[in-house]
Amino acid sequence: MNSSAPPYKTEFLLGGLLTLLFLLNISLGSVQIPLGEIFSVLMGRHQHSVQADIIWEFRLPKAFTCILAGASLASSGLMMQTLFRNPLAGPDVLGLSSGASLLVAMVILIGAAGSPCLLQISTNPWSVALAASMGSILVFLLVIAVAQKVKDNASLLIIGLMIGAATSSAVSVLQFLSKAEDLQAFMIWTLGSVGGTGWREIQVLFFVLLLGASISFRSMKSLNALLLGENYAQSIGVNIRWSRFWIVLATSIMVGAVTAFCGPIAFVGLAVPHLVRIWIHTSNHKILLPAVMLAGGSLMLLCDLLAQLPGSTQILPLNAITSLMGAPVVIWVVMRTKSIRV
Amino acid sequence: MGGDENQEHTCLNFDLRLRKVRSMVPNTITNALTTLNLTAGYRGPQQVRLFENLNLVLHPGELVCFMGPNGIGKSTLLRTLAGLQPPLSGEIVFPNVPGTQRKENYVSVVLTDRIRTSHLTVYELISFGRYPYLDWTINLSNRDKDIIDRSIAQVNIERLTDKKIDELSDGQMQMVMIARALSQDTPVLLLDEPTAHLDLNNRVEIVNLLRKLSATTGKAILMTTHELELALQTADVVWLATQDKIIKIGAPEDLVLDGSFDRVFNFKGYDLRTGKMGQEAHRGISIHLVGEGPEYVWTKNALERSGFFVLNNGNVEVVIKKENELAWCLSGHPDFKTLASLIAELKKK
Repeated sequence: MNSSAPPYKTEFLLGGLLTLLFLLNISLGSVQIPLGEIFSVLMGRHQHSVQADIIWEFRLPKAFTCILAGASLASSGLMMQTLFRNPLAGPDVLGLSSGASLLVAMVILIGAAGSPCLLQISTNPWSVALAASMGSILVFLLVIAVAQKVKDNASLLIIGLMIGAATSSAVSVLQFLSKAEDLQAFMIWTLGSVGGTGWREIQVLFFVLLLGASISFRSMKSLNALLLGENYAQSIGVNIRWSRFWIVLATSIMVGAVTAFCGPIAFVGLAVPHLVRIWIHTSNHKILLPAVMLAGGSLMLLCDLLAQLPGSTQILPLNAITSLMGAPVVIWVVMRTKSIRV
Repeated sequence: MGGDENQEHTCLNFDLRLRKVRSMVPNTITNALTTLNLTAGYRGPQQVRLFENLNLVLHPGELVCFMGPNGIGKSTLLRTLAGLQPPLSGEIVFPNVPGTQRKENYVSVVLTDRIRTSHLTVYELISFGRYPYLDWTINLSNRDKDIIDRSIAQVNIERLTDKKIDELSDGQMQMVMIARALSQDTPVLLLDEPTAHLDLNNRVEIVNLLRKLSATTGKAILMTTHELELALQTADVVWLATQDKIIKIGAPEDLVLDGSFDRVFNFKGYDLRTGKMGQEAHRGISIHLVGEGPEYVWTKNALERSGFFVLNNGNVEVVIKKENELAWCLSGHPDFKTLASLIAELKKK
């Protein structure tokens, strides 16, 4: 009925926005590359120019990483908000990113400290992603176990924050015990960056997003049903345990992989679903999921664009930008609607 | 392949079990829902058994009101019947409707859980009732849409379909939730306190609607409620949970007359059989009231509330006049235009 015609328009517009930001992201930076140049390089001409190197080795991987990371984080945030029926849930808020950080820190810092086996692991993108996903899953399961006991939204958030704080402290301890040069690498990682990923990492990110997104789309029905609460969801034939399992799995691998390669990126998972809901006024995941993925990718491209400070050689930490963009959005949403809902 | 085999297997088991049931309880097949030695309660370290060994029956086309004191476990039993929590022992048997083996095809529910989502339209919410019949793409077929439209028409909320659910009043929301349950197209509909937090008008509307639905759709409808008067006037059957955890079943009038209601609710100053608050006639004046119709009923009410006897051979005569306008006539006084002025005068005697 009224849920078929306009939504495609939304996705079309978001797709256009994503493409535009993608091109801008490649074009702007410390060196400006005109659009025409970009097209000719992408078409395979001028392969040996400096511009071609910048595009293929630096700008393109970075832009793809932005899209993949943004889509993964935003859809994870959406699913977590629905699962917990808590508008302030998100991968960073409930400690999933911290869990991933902890395991990555263990791999990077301890691995660098000597164990050749772990060093091997820490250089393979698949195993780093796997370790980070394990970290996310562990934290997610912990949060769910706690959520079973406390039904109250505020308590759940506080517990998520505490889990985040505890894992961050564990990371600090690891940092304290490690060598200065490893530490610097790790510190840069925690500031969030989409510039450190090569094509191998993008391959992993792409595969993980593909898997995570397939699971998310297969879960549309249960996600919608969960909007009514677990009792109603069960009464219309949704198996709560299984749908929770799939949602946890999809969310954790996506957050884990992104965190492994880009660091704990703040606010994208929390803010994007709200931005999209403000715009298209729906809670229907069939419309929301694709829209949120496109919007997540767009927002990351935009944040990265701003972090590059076009025209200058300086680069700001990505997390500073996402927080600067995300925090006011959430405050504005709460102020405007007086209440903030899933 | 394996899936099909499994399906057949459960079907077979189901039939076998039904055959066993059939021999035990003759009417299981025509009942919309039957419980066999059902014990409901909570699992856990301290098991709480709320109701034990229940053998209950819901018949098609019947409206059942489930009443009882607060905290006795009505909601828990309702949730158990709906399959939302497992019984401690015993089982719930549905008739074998072809193509339906799962509880969501037999029972739909309206619960007290609040829906906190804001960006959902009424139509979308009602369409969720079709989810048991849809695959993961959640595309509604024309048949699904027909059933949704029919449910909307049955509840008379066509004007609400495009609204967002946070724009609805409590009463409208309850109607929408009933429409959602109807679109699930199940032989049994269970409602937990559907009239709680509603004003009188909405309460009457909901109960009348359920009454009509049970009669026209042939659904078995069970609602838990505290609305004694509405239940007495509309229910075909009352399940009355007593303090000693037994469920008394009967026509509402039977349970009134044998005093079951009085025992369960311990009415303080309310006589259910006359439907009145017990008023003490303390003024020592008895009134012979002449009149008819609702005016008579309300005048009698007012007099008794103020402490006067109303008797056939009362010593003071009050006549209700309904010529041009309503008035009360007391000998030796000009006509009274209001009951308040009449009572004020009577109190002087």
